[in-house]
Amino acid sequence: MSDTTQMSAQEQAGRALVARAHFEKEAVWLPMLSIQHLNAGQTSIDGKTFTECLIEGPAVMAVMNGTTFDGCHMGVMTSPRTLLYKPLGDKLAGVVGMSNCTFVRCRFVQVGFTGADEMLAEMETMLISARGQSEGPAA
Amino acid sequence: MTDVYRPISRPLNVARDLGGSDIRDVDFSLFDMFVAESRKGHGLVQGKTVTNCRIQGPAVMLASNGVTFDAVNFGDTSGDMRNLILRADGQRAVGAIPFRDCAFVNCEFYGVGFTGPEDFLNQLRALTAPSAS
Repeated sequence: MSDTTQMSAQEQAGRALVARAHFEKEAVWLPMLSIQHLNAGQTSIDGKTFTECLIEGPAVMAVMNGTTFDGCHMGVMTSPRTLLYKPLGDKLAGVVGMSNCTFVRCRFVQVGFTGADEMLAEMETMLISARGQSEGPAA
Repeated sequence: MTDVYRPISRPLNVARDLGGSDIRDVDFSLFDMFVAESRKGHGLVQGKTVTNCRIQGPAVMLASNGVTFDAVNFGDTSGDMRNLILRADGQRAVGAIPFRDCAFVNCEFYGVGFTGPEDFLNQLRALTAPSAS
């Protein structure tokens, strides 16, 4: 545990946010969540569960090891690829890294996704499948 | 116009108002600028000249038509400009912060990724050093 006695109320609120493992039925502004983690010395967001949350950007999420999506609405799109970014280098800049996080029935707004090639392929398949389900069977 | 990037050495000066078209000698996060424009009903950041500013992420900038960079430090490349570049897979770039007709002059970027049209990405990729003119 870090010593929070010398922190401002704002900093303490940030640390409390970072310490939380579960978020349920609330709006989460991804850039702010990321900033609070960076301020706490954590370069990625790890081991959190989001249930029925509204996850808001603008942000590009780096989907890292152990992060899963279950019954989520990933965002408005004409093509699933619209939500995906391919990094040109080995490292990533400007993204919000998330590892071992679970998203259950969440809705994403203004959030793009990036990661390793395999993850991007997996995600595209998932998005196409999710779109097919939401459109229902052809008449 | 500045030809050579000059590191910003002034003390931190957090921007209080990002609504104007001439932003100078202040420090701000990219998403705060986007929020300021959103409050005015704008879906993108347009028509700004940003000079001598430190610009923080985490954010991915979509550099659309008319965005120029003059003597800026794009950030920590870890020796390869490609580490700052993301290519949007589709026609749009959801999650990136869109800019149009903006000029960045002698600015420093921290934790910002870049995306945009292929020719812009190629220009960025061709840079060999973290600063460029």
